[in-house]
Amino acid sequence: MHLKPVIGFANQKGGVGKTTSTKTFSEYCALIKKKRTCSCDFDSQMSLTSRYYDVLKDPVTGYRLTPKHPKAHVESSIANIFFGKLPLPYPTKYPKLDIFTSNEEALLKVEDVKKLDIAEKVYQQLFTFITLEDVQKSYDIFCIDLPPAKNILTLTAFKALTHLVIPIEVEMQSLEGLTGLMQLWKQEAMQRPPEYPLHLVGIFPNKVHSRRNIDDQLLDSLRNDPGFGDYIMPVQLTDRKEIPECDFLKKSIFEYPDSNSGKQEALNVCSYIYKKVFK
Amino acid sequence: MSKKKYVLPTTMSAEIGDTIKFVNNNIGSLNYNIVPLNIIELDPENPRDLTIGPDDLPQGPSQSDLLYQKKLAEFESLQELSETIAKYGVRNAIEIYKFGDKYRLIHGERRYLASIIAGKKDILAKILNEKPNDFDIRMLQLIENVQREDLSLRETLNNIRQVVDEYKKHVEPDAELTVTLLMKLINRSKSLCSNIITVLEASSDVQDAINQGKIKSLDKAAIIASCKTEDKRAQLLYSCLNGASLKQLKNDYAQGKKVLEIERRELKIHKKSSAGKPTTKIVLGHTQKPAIVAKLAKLIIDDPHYRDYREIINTLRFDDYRTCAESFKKLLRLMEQVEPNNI
Repeated sequence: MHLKPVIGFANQKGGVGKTTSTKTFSEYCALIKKKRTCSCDFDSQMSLTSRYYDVLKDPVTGYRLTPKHPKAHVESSIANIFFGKLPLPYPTKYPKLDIFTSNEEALLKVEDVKKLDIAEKVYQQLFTFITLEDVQKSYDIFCIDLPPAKNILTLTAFKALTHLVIPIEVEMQSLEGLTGLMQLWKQEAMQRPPEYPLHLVGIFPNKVHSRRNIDDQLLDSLRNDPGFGDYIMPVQLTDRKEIPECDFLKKSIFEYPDSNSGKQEALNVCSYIYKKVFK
Repeated sequence: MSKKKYVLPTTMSAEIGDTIKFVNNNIGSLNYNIVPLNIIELDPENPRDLTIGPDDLPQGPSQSDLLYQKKLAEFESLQELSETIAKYGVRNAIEIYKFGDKYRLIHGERRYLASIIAGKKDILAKILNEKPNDFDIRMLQLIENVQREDLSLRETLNNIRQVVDEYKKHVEPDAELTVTLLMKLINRSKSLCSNIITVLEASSDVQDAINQGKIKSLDKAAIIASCKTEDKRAQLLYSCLNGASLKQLKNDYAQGKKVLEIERRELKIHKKSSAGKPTTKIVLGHTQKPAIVAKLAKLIIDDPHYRDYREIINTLRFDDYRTCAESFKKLLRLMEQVEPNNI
């Protein structure tokens, strides 16, 4: 069976725009390319879930609570795959976009797994779920928001990916996170059988301050690097007001008019990734 | 134009660049997976000598089995490993390759069997994309096995023999087993390889003791095998079989070598050997006086043994160097015919 693409947005550093990238690209696939898209929140911080549903906190434990499914009226999250249950896809206001929500408490339990033989089984769970025949038939593409750490969830998500996008901020701390993630990619890519490779789509400059000298020069140095310059995407997202606005209003950047330069930038970035995935 | 201040540090640039290059050159070289035990089968060409198989597990061999005793011993040894596996899992992946609708084991037979005993349903395995050739399989098995301490000396030596055979079969038919070659094949130290070769080439008495499991240490076997004289070797072998330590054997060996050295030196005094080719004939020297040669010829004519040859000898001329030399040669040839062989 030909497996549908699974795109992961990952960086070990937080705040580089993993969730924004996942959300933007998922919406591009669903709204612009009309693909049946499944977005998956694999981060216990539930950032992606909160972009589509209100996330409340348990007043006693303090854990963020998975929202109830709007039709089934039960809580269901991607963490179910680790506990022998199938997760329910949550609809979004965009007909072709579903989301598998996160569950902070359950995912933190999974992160605690230390025993090697159990961990080995955990690693396979997302891959096993995504490759289920029904799941494969339901969607054309899967987009995964990874946690900002090198933990068991990240490794599990890596096992399921076919494509990797690494969003970075053009600053030193983020670049240090990049080197760690590259090691993770190396480890996983080398383990893959030839018929199921893990492609590195590219390193995606996010939140770029276009008029800041340090950003321009550092980005220039990255793109001209003889060793990996080709992997730095020629497109970028600049630090714009539309992104926080979209989060606040729970809307998509693609709902803005075509004249909006933020939308045009997002279209360029997503189109680049899309072409790399569906080449 | 002003110089750029903000550039990526070279160490970071090199690290990322090297990682990308490394991955592009090695995709798929570490393909690990969790594989159900019931789709893995043993490789019938596995050089190890375990008789116990998956059919005897997990309960252990049947008493009606002809190889019951051997299998039972192996089962008990595997049980120890299975306890560790039950507790901690398999730490190092076994290695397998796809064979029809199953997978065949390349190495990790004990981990595979012990996992069955431990009641496991699957095992961590490295999956090779295709069946490696015999040489590669032997190499993989050997590399795995030489790091293990639970193999007998006989099993280790058998593995090495097979690797060398495979190397000759596939790579270099006329290769001689040298320390350099063995170091290249099994990637071990010079001294270890030297010991292995000494033992592989050991005399039959040492080989027998190894095959019967009486010598378990490679170092001890190498000391005994390197003993040149049969008596001394037998003596060292006897000491070893009676529990002599490696140190004792080394001392005995050194002592024997010392005695041998003294004997050799004494022998040298009696037999002064000269360098070069062995002497096979006598050179009679040379002279500038033809009269001396004529005198020698005269003495021989007077010898009663040469009575019948006097006429021939009288024809010889001793006038100058040339005629003198030729005549003397003829005289010698004649004497060689006449004189009895036992002179």
